[in-house]
Amino acid sequence: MSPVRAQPSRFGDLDDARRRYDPDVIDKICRSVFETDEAADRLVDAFAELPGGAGLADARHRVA
Amino acid sequence: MLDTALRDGLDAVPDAPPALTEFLEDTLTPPDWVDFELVDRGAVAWWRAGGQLQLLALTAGSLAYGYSTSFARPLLLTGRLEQMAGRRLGETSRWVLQATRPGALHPGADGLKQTVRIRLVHALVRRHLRGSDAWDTANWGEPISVGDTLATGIIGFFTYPVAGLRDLGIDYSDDELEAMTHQWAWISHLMGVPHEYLPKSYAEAVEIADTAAAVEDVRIEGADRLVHALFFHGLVPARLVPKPLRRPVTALVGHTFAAVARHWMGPERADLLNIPDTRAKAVLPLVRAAVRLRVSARRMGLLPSDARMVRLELQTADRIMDLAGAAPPMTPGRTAEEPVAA
Repeated sequence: MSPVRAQPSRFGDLDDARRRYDPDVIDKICRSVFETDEAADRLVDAFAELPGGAGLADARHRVA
Repeated sequence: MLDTALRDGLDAVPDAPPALTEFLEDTLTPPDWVDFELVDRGAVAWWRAGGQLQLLALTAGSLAYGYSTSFARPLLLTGRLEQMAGRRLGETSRWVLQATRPGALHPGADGLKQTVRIRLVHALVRRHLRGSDAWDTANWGEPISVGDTLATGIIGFFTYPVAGLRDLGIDYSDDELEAMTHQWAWISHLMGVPHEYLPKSYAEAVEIADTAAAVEDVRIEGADRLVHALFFHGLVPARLVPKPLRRPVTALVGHTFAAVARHWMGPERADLLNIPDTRAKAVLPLVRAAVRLRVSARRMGLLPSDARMVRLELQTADRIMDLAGAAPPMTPGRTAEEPVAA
C-alpha cells in the first residue's frame, strides 16, 4: 500500500478529524485516494499494447 | 473482447491477455462473501421507496453529493457542462436502473455486466488524466481513485440518499439497511474497490461517510457550475415539454430539486455550491406528507407486496427513461464521445 502523503489540498483539517473520528478509518480514507484499481489499469495497458492499439481504438480520448 | 468474455466466459476469448482474466476474476466467479439473496433483498428495499423518490434521491442526493466531491474533477475537465448535464443524468439513471433491480448483480446479469464496463471506462479516463498536465496527483490523489470509487458507491449512491429518503419519511428496517449495505458493497467491489475497504454493516458504512465528510475539503473549483448544470440543464428532457413551457418548467423543477439538495446537504455546503435558498423549499412538507401516506398505506397492507411494487416501479421507470430519450449507460467504446480537456 502507498504511504500517506503530507496533507494534499483535497483534505481538510485532519488533526480535527482525528480528534473526532477513528484515526485508523481516517488513515484508510487518506491512503485510498492514492490507490487505484490496478487490475483495471493493467487491462487498459494490455489493450493499448494489442496490435495497433486495437483494444483502445474506440475508447481513446480526444484531448480538446 | 470484454463483452465476449462477460457474455460467454473467458473460454470464448482464447487470445485474452492475462490482465483480462485478472480483471474479471471476481466478476465471473464471485467471492464467497457475496450473498446474492441478501443483495436481492437490498434491491427490493432500494426500489420500494418508489421511482419518483429514487429520481429525487439520485439527483438531489447522489449526483449533487458527487458533484461536490473530488469525483467532480474529471467531469469538470470535460467542459461543456450544460450540454453534457442531461446526457450524464440519463447515463447514470440507466445504469442505476440496470444495476439495482433484483437479480441484476448475479453472474451473467445485465446490471453486473454494465457495472464492469463502467469500471473499465473509469480506468480509461484515469489513464488519460494521468498523462495530462491538468491533473494534480499530489494534491488531488489519483484520478478516480479507490477512495473516490468507495465514496461514490457507499456514500454517494447509498448512505447519503438513504439518509435523505429517511428524512422524507421512508421507514427502512434494520434488515433492509443491512441488505442495501451488502448490495452497494458488491456494486462497489464490481467497480474495483478491494474487499478490505468495504463496509460490513450499515453502521460501518455510516462511519465511512461521516469520517470522509470530516476528512475531505469540499471546496472544488467549478463544482457549483456542475451542480447548476445538473438542476437547470439536465433534469427536464426537452422532448417531453412543449417549447413555450420549457423555460418555466425547467426553472420550477430545477429550483424544487435544488431546494431538496440544499436541505439534505445543509446550508454551509450548499452555499459553497451556490445552491440558492428559495421558496421552493416549501415543497418539502408536501413531499413528506405524500411519503407518510404511502408508508401508512403499506403498513396497513393497502399496497401490493414489496416485490410486486418494485416490479411496477421498475416498469414505470424504464418507460420514463425511454420517453425521455435517456442516453444508455457509458461503455468503454463510447468514452471518446466525452473528451477530456487537458
